[in-house]
Amino acid sequence: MYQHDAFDRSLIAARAEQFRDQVARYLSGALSEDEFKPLRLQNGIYIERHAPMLRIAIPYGVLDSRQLRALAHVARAHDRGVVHFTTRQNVQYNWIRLEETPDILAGLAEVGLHAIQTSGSCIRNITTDAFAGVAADEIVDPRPYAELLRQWSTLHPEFFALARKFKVAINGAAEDRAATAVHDLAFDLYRNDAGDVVVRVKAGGGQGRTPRLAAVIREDLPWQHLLTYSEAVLRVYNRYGRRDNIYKARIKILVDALGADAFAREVEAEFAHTGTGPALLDQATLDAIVARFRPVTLDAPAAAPVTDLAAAASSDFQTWLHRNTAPHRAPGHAIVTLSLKVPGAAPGDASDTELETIAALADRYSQGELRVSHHQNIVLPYVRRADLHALWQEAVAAGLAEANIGLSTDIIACPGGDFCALANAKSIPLAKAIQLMLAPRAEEVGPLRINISGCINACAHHHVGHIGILGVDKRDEEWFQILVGGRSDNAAALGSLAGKAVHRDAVPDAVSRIVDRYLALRTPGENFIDTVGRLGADPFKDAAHRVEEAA
Amino acid sequence: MSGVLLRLQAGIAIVETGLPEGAFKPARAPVAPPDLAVVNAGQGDSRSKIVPNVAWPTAPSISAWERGPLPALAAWREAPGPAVVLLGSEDPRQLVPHLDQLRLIAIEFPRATDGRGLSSARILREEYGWQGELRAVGDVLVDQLAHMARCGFSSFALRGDQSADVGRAALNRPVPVYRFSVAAAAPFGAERAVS
Repeated sequence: MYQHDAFDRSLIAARAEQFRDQVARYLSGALSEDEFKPLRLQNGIYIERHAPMLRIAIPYGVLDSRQLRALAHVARAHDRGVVHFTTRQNVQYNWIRLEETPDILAGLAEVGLHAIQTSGSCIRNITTDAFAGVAADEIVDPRPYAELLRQWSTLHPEFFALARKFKVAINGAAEDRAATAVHDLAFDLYRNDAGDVVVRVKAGGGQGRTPRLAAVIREDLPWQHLLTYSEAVLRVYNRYGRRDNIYKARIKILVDALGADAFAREVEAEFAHTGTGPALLDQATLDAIVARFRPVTLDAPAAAPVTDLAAAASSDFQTWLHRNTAPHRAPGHAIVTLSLKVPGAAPGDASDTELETIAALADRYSQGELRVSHHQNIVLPYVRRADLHALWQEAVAAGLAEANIGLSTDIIACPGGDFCALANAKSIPLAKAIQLMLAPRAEEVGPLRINISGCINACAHHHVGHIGILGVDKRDEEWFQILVGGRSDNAAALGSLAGKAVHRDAVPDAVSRIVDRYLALRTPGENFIDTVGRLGADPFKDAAHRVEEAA
Repeated sequence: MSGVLLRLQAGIAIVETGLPEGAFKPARAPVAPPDLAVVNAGQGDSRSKIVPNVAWPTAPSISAWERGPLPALAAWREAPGPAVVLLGSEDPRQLVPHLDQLRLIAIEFPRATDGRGLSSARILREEYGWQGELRAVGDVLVDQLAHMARCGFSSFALRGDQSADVGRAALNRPVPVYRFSVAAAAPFGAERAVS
């Protein structure tokens, strides 16, 4: 991973000190509530339903064991012992006292962590594929480019008061694991016929109350223009994005209003100016960034089968291997995902002691490095295949070996009404109920992505869940809309609504009926989303709707 | 009542007092310090407090500078003088044919959350090489000064309640920032190469 030097450290420390001063001025009354709000938001602090919440950035989802231990320490010393992993590869603390935030940030700064631009109307944490740099299907390693985007966007003076938040994702693999289609600005890295790295630029994706898939606005952009082109997109958005209605302020509304072609022309016109600006990259700059990444040793024997007899005999281990490991670019290695989706526990939550265990596993088996996936799980990117059984045994002992990655119990959920001041409904209890209901047959059902958002803001990406579930408020009761057929991969699609909203208590049954319908309709080996693709969403709408009528 | 102008000279902020009324936005009403017990108890269910529609001022908050009147763009077009004030929504490129006649371009920040004027500043400085005085007016708060300076602003008419000392310190304290974002010629910031 990228190694901070004295300069990076000084920037983070200076920012933490600046925020300490801002908190002090707020507490003294020198800063009003309205004036303090954008300042605290740009340092990741929300005032939630029951307490302040602090969101820490995990740049493009990469962190090391030392940082994980520091996060565990904060959970213990300043929160209630829990860290929540978000769908944007960040972490959140839900029980923070505002006056402690300067000390928390100063402490985290010592390990290179910060809350810079984790909220507010600015460029947020850059996200990418959790398997970046190790995936077998990778075309271009996106991490150095993500790091360049991070540096460019950090404290960018022109874009710190945008019309609304701005989310950027970058992908360099054949399979899109970064959900690029639902980002304000997104990049696919690939190679042209000459072998040079070029960029496909997409803009105007997003979820919330006006879900949109991003439109391609530029193909074959030389990588040297990654930042200058971003600058042109951001400048068009900063100047022309709507500011008269917060629901219409995201870039997707501007792209919609102009049309993608006209929007692209505006960007190209601005690019004529920014293209030669200070954000223009060259090979020496990229090389310097690449050189700052800590080298990893991937020298396991190529064959490296899992030969342990006990391992071969254990069906639980075989299931875990099948579900929780992914092909690695280096022979003899595997990418391991540790599930934070134990049925019955809050999705994406980990206790301080679990984090300590995961840090130890990373040190022993993954060269001290980890990733946060946008599916709210933890990835160990550098595991030797020969170590898989030992790792699994330790994970089992720690309760971290749930073999459900990509299955229906690997539910993505936002914090919901238990914490969030905007939520219409509680996502976590519903996630638990659905997990417990589907757990006995999750393996039989196979890959099925379920996403539960507590409100229209769609933090849990319900529009792109194979089954998306959205909390709505009906006469102060929790009801849920169910969507079917969404996906965020290369064939990205928005789910379509399956009839009217369902009362909270009836949702698990409705989901179960949809699953039943799938099992009845699937061809051998066909995944849920492919069955929906083949037959359309109607048979599943019908399944959900019958339950709704019965309820 | 008079206001404070911070001015960058060779990258160093100096304080000029005595800015006339009309040349800076007046102080907002004082506020009481927050009650931490209330803040730390959260804000409950805040859905009903959301007001989606945002009304923005249609005219600049100021009408003067230290050398006379400061007309808004429409009025300036009728009678071009040495100074003009733009709203964030007004395209600074409209001024490009007239830059030689101008001595001061002021840009209004109606609220700290409106960053359009930052793009206006960079367009004038970096695309058209405007060398004259570029002034931030309106809700010019000490926490925004560093960003404004990096975008090319060279003077700052502080809102009436803002501390000149805090503002000057914010401008004169070198803040580590990554390169890439603004031109090296920007009059502020200890930027570094990445290697």
